[in-house]
Amino acid sequence: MSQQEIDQLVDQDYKYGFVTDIESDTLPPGLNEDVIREISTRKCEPKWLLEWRLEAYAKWLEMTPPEWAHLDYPPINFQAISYFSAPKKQGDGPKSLDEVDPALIETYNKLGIPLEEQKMLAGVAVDAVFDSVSVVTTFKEKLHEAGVVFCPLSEAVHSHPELVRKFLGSVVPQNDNYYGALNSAVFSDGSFVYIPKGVRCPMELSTYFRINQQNTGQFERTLIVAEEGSYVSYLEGCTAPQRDENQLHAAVVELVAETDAEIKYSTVQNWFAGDDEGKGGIYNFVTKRGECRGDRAKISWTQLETGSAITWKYPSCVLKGADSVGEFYSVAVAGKKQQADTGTKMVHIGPRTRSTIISKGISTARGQNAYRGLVKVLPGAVDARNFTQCDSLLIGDQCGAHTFPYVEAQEPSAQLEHEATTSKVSDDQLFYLRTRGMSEEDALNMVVNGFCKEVFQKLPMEFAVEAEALLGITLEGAIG
Amino acid sequence: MLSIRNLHARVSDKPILKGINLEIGTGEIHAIMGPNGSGKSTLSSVLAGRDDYEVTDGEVIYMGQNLLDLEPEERAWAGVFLSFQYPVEIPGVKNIYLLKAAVNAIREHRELPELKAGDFLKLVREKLKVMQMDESFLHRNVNEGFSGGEKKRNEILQMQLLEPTLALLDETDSGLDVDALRIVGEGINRMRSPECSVLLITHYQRLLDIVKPDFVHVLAHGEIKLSGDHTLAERLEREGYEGIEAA
Amino acid sequence: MSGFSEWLADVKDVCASEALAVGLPTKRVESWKYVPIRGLARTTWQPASPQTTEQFALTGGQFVNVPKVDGCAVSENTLTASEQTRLDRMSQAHGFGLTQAALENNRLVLTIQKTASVVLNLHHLANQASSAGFATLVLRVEAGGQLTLVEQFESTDIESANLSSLRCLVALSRDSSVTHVRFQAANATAHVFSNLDVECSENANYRLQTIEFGSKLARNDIYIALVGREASASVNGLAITSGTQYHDTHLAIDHVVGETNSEMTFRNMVDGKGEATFNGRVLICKDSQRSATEQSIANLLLSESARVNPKPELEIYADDVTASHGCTVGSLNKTELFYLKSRGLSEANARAFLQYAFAEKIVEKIEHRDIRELVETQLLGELKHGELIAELKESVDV
Ligand SMILES: Nc1ncnc2c1ncn2[C@@H]1O[C@H](COP(=O)(O)OP(=O)(O)OP(=O)(O)O)[C@@H](O)[C@H]1O
Ligand SMILES: [Mg+2]
Repeated sequence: MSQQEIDQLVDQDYKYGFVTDIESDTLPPGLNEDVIREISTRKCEPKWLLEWRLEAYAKWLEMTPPEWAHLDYPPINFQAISYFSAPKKQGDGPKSLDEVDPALIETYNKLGIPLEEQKMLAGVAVDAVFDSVSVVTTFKEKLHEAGVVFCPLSEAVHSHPELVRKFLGSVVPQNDNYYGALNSAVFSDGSFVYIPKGVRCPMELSTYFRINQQNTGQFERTLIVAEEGSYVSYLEGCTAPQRDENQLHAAVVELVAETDAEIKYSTVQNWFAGDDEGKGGIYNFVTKRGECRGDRAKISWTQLETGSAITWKYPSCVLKGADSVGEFYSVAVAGKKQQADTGTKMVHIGPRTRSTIISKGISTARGQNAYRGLVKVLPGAVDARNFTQCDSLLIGDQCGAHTFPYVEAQEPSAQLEHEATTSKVSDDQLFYLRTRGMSEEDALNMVVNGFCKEVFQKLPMEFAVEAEALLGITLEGAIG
Repeated sequence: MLSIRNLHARVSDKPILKGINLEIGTGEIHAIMGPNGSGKSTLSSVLAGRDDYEVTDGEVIYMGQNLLDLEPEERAWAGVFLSFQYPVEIPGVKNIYLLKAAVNAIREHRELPELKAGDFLKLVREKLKVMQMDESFLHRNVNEGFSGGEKKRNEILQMQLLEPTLALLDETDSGLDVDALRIVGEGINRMRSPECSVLLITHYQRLLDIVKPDFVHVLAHGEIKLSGDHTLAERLEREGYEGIEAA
Repeated sequence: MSGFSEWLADVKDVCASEALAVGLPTKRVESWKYVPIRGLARTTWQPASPQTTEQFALTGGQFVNVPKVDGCAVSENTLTASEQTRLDRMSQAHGFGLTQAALENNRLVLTIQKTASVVLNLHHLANQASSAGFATLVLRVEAGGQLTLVEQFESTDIESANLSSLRCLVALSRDSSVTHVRFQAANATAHVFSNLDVECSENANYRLQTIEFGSKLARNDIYIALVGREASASVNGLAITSGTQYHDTHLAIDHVVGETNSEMTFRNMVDGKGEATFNGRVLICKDSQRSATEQSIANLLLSESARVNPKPELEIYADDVTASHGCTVGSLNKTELFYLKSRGLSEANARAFLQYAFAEKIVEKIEHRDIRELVETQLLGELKHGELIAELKESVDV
């Protein structure tokens, strides 16, 4: 990227902070059984799904919010949130882009996500979720030819009811955790991906999430099923307008990888982080879990977390199949007054299962960044292997970096290795780069990018560039 | 004394040895040379019984018994000694504990009486002197923090104490300074006897100048491509493997 | 309901009624997550009675034969405000903390005088079946004082559950140092609880060596606060857990001010159906610049049913620090085993060698020679096939 481009990026504060003026259909704030029925009715859902939601709601009422995370925030008033918001539209939703509200297309263009196919990045199919509903999915034709299903979950409920019914909640059960249960009760939309046996998905799949409405929570739910021997790479990106109040985002992502299947799931999370004083921003409470059900299945999570006032997120892998593989590559940045408590869980069940965890935490300004991870090896996971490395970088003396790795080992042949370091950016490195003519800021950027390299390399090409740029913006003003 | 017939071995599904045939008579010294990655260490490890390597075909007969049927320690009892290319560090185990335990384990199987502490120390000191090693090495942990050359000397020290009948020396000359090379070379020569055979893996002529091999073999791509007397090594030094393979 | 209910009901004070109300910590208390409390809950505990002995000992919750040595004075039993706060923090942690406070039998306050150098040998005598003793030891080390405290546990055969608990407060004034060796080889039915709260002032140095083979269940809570510049602490620990034993160490070090150093090395070796937990947390506070901490945890699993739960934690609020931790879990190294076997050692002996080596890395750090040798001897007794090494040590060590 040229210096000019960087400057442009750095000049903006949060460039996605605009509000789209669009007519929308929003439920009044509040949560009760009727609200859930209303959501279900509006989405014309089958009866079983409504019952499933109500069941989840009943379980949620019994649960209490988790308190173990290294996070500090006032209790959330769940009655002040609206649980459904959709851009108003006629009839059954757009059949093609021509039917999509031009203001929406404009919004996505501003976000740098052109929905018009001819302009699109080659080989990336996009599903765009605006507030609670999916507004458009591109490249449907081409995917259809390959037998791949990529559509909004709300649509899949009608087009592939047997698949949705079989897999929904099979990885993250309704009562898995507090926010997961809430999502199960009120989830709005999200993507559904099904890759049939032996198919290598011909392009990257991508979903962009945007929260637009005020007082709206977003509760998307994504389900990806990769049948035997298939492959898919999926990316999600997230933005929200700048608002003074906190907005809640409680998503659930479920991945199922059968024998020899591989799912690569990447996230670039850039929800509004709140201002320097900690006002506003998204509360991001997300449950992501993948199950390697078959032998030699592989699930890989890669994430860049720069946004949100609060991030609570632990993308996990349950390694059931023999020789299955789980990976977690993460860069989490906490600046301003952001708080991040993120990490992963690797549960080794099958023999010779392997997992790798590389976590890079960067704390600046008054940010607090915590890595929390669990590596669990059950009896019978013979010769299981884990390697964990979590490094923290501190920039400035008002921030914090924390590491909480849990290990539970119950199999003697397992071999687990964990390493962690915490340090500040070395003055020697900065000095060295500056004697070579770089500005302090550029030097810092370069060092930090180097620190994150291992993770960025795991992102799909198109997004690695975006990731680096995002990191640059986030670090702006970190030295001073 | 040792005959290797059609030996095939692989490591994690990758075939490495693809039919090795080699006869080593008593008291003979055989040098094995070959490009990096050709399988030399694999051969020596298979002979010593390392279980990362899977033998897929062939047999190895050593003094009338099937070597491949034996556990690593049983091979050691039977007189096989492997000097590791990368000697293993064992933190927390004193060198002298290992030496004494090993000497007596092997003596027991040769039906020799156990060496008492005094006699053992006398013997070790004598060998230390030969290897020009300081006594402090005895009380350090096995190979831990030893320099590359010190580790190799320690291997030869062990060999002298264990008095093998078949010594497999895997690049024992790598990483040695000029003096150490001579000491190690002479250490090997001292082992030379009608009872002891040596398989010497090396990349360089200089060790072979000190330890004159009876035979030289070239191992490439998991097979012995060429065998000859010590002049073959000299030719290799001049022409390289490419020259030889082309010929 | 806990096995202390009847006893607590007899003690009529606030702490006891709180303890009764709260009960023993369950799995939901994060720091007690893995502790099997069944044995504690099922036994009906009674106060233990002291036994006669010649030694400086803790028996039946009482200190006996407190030695009269130069530089070490027995002080009055009143606590300073800060000591009281620290003790209250222990008590308030959870229901067992309250129980320890309520059932306390005896408290001893010792002062190590300025620039004195003192060695104390404390023997823990086993309590009788179904009986428990709770005591508190307060150590005040004055400026420049040096204390070596050695705790040893007597192992007598007792067929059913018994319990001993010692809460220990140590305050190190400037320039003082404490070397604390704890060798826990209590009998196989013992429940041993140790709470340690250490405070290091400027340039004070606290060193703990803790070796644990014994007991049915052992729980150590160690808290070290580095409150003065250039204060330092190091902890070396080894727990050998076998049979159906449970060993649990929770260690926390706070770097409250800058230029402080800490180091923790802990090793677990677990065999049989044993389970070991180690939680090591280091906190570096906001203004503790130029502090350093290093943590290393190694865990060796020797059997199918062995379990281990290690957790190193770092909580860092200052930027000019160096902090690292490493944690490994595994069985004996295959290459090392092969190396030893290729030198003629039998499988059993090669395994014993490596187990001994694993433990020795901690044991060798005990400077106190008699204790080190005692530990080594007992360690070899614990190991399957330890005889060969014992014999070697005997014959070639100088
Ligand atoms: N554990 C292993 N896993 C995978 N490959 C292995 C393993 N061990 C050896 N190999 C491979 O087998 C081949 C032969 O290795 P070997 O060590 O026998 O070579 P070498 O002839 O001794 O080489 P050098 O001269 O460099 O010592 C190499 O390609 C090596 O990478
Ligand atoms: Mg080699």
